[in-house]
Amino acid sequence: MKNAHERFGRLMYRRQTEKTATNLRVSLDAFMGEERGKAHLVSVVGGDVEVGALAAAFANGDSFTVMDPYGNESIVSLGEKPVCYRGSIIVPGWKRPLRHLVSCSQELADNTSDGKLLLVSDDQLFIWSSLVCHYGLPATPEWGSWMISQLRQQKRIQPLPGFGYSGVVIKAKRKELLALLRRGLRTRQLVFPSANGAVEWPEFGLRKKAA
Amino acid sequence: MLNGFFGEGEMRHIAHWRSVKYVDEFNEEGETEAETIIRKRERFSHELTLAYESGHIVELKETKEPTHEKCS
Repeated sequence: MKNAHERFGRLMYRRQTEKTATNLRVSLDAFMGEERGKAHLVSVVGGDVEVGALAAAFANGDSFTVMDPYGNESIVSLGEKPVCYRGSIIVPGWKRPLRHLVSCSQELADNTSDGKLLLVSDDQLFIWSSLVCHYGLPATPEWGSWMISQLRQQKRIQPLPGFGYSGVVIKAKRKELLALLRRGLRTRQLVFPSANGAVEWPEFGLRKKAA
Repeated sequence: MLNGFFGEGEMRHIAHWRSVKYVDEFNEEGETEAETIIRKRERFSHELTLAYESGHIVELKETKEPTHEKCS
């Protein structure tokens, strides 16, 4: 893994009014976006004032510039009413803690969408369990590999630009996923286990991707 | 325990329950003329999806009650 200053990107925010000018630059820990200037996940660390100002700017729907660890820049916005989570990181030897801000777009936080699901990991089990949970599909973890391979074949799973997390967008409706399940069962690609019982899902965690 | 495999033979199936949020909207006449008060009530309802071994899929969920108009 690279040193922090090499893994991090930068987030720049500039706002100018008649009387004041705000110019902020903070370290960007993770970013997930989409084309046409959409940001879905922003994770930044900085000082108290900087993070407070950024939270206000995000809530306002203001645009900002993100620069990934490779130096590529883009102007993006989290859109209306992003969800913000703030925390503190105590650094040994520092008088004041660092402030951590994670902001998600409404689209990422929305758990009622049908047709487009944004996820922060491209892990197969994570994608499959998220689809099952989000759309309420009658399915087992073992059916994931066939279902995901079909979705990938149909180009319904696409990577999202960003760093820190390997975000993906899944473009499929509940109706289409049920039709795929139906096909899998009819063609015996998906089979029932020999005995009845509850469906058990393995535990898993999200892993950050090193740049 | 509710999400799992049940039944025998042709009736053998996998079940999945989930809660679905519904928003009921009521319109009321306001105090002044042409004023409408819109009230929204959020509630949760259950939805059950069954997949049979044959590939047959059944969705059991809340549907709107059919409105019967009185005939005079």
